[in-house]
Amino acid sequence: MIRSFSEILTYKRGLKLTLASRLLLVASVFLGILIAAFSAPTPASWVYLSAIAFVELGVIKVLNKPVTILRALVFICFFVFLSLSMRLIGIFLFNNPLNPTTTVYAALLLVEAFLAITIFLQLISPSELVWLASKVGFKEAGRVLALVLTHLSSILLAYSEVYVVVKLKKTRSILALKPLLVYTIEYGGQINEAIHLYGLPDPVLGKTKPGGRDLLVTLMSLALILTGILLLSR
Amino acid sequence: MQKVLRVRGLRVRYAGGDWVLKGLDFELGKGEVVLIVGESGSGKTTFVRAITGLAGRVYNAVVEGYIEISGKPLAEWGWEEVRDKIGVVLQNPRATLVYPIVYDDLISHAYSIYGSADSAERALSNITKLLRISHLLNKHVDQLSGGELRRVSIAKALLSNPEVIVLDEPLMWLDDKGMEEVRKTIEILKLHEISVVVLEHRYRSLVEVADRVLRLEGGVLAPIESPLEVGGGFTTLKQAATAQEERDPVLEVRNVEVKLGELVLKDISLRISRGEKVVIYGGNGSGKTTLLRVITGVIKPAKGVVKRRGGILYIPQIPYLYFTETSLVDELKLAGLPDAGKASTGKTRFDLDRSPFSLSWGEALEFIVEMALESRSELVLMDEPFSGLSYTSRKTLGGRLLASPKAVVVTASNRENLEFLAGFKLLELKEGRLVEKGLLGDLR
Repeated sequence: MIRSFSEILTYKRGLKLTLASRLLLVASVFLGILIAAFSAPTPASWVYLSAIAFVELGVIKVLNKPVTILRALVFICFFVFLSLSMRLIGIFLFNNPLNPTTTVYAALLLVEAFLAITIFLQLISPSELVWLASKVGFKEAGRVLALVLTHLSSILLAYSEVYVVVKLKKTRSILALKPLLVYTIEYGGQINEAIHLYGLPDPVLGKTKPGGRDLLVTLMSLALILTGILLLSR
Repeated sequence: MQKVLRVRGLRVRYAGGDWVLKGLDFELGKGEVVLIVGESGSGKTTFVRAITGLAGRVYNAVVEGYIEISGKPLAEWGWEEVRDKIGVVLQNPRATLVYPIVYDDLISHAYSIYGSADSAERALSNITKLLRISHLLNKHVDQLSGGELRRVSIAKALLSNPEVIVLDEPLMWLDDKGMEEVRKTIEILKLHEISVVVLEHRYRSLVEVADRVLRLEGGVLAPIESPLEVGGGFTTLKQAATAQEERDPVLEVRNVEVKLGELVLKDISLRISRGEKVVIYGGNGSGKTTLLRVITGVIKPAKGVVKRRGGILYIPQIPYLYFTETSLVDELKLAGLPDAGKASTGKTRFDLDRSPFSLSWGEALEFIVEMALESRSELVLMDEPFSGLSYTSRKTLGGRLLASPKAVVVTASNRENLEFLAGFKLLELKEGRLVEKGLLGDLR
């Protein structure tokens, strides 16, 4: 499970798009979610929210194995179920429950926001993140983020090992932090040594020529943004 | 032969510690491959840190003696010049990667050396062709096998066209295929007259490719004619004659299937009796760790049944990840051995008030194994216990496990390690299926 989780937070090279197209796609999804959040759950908003989910699931499907999209759907269903359960509890406890439509709408918004973050991390590589950060004056922060993203899976794997140990030792889970902390410090020392040996080079971004796919993604992203603006202006 | 590296009377000690290297002399000729062997903690990594200048610069160690690279003292080279002269592949090659896509990482490093996109591309193209890794460029580092990761790191070290390549334990964690890939890569470097220093515990497969073999012991280097400490042959399968006695089962696994995206384990059945010794052998990624986790109950199988009788103790690949307490005595208490400290004061060589994190790799593993074999657990699981140990320590560990009354399951990713597990039942995990191969015989 931890491995699957780290997988959906990892950059993938599946979509052969220019950086500009990928940024526009991610921006349109985030903007769309923001617009949907400020809209009442009208039929038009539901259609709009579904369109965003369709785009997100489409990107996840292209970048991952088919099973990942199933997991994403299960994840969505889980949140919807959770929100409906909360409504039921609300009926029994407060006699003043949230509107069911609003509850499900809010749950979907939350899920789509999470999926948008995973799409961002899967579409924009750490080297591109450093490049983008350096353009807005946060080069060092960008480098730190790139290193964290590159080495995150190693730390998560160590966590899964510690989890097995702690479970079998039947000790307090909080104690798992100790070996993890020591491991992370030691791993950080190795990275420090490597940086002294190899330096911390600025990213060199490969050039991708815009093609038919870029045009398609650009049109789709612009359509998503324009529809959102229309929705807000109603 | 032209000397590319010369070391005279090298002494190194870390702050507050004893001298690790005590007057070490070393010379490396152009195109020469030198293999340095030595026990864990003998100072191999300290030697690498000293010749690259890291010992003083990063670790604030006291470094005395004379180091010369390409005819010029180390002190006279600029820091970045030293980086270009000596390429180092660290024990953990993953730590050297800044960006997760192989191409992004290598091209960025090449650009920082050559300053122009064309030159960087040309250098990268030459190196990837030389090491035959062009097919790996578009991969994410998490998709690389251990051997591929080592080759990518060697490529990164070669980009600056260094005089010397230093490989610090390049075979650690590797399976048979990965070991062979690294050995072939060293042969390619030798063919192109690139000087190589290899520091390794598991050196057998590298002896033939090396021009000289030296042993680092007592802080100095000495040449050795016959580096093989134990055995030197192959493991045999000895059927039935000394078959392990059938006793009450401590574990029964029946028709287990595990899906992690795809089917990882297929129709696995396994019965382990009290006191039985089993080794699960398979390449990296074959599902050995997954099977151990199924046995522990952390992973629930999609199909099949797992029955455990008695406690299980799991020792991870990195022994430090086992420790959750502040002292060794507290670890013993947690393992249900509150009197072990008192009872074994005369026997144990460990100061039980010590923090477990202050132990060396070998010591940490030794302590956990001793504790595991004394504990109330019926079954001890060890994931790749031989990594980071010298051949002598492996032989000792194998013998200790065999002599124990506990049931023991260990995993191994290369045939070399099977040699130290004589008397264990061999099960091979291949393409998700477990095949019983018989009992491992004596050393030949």
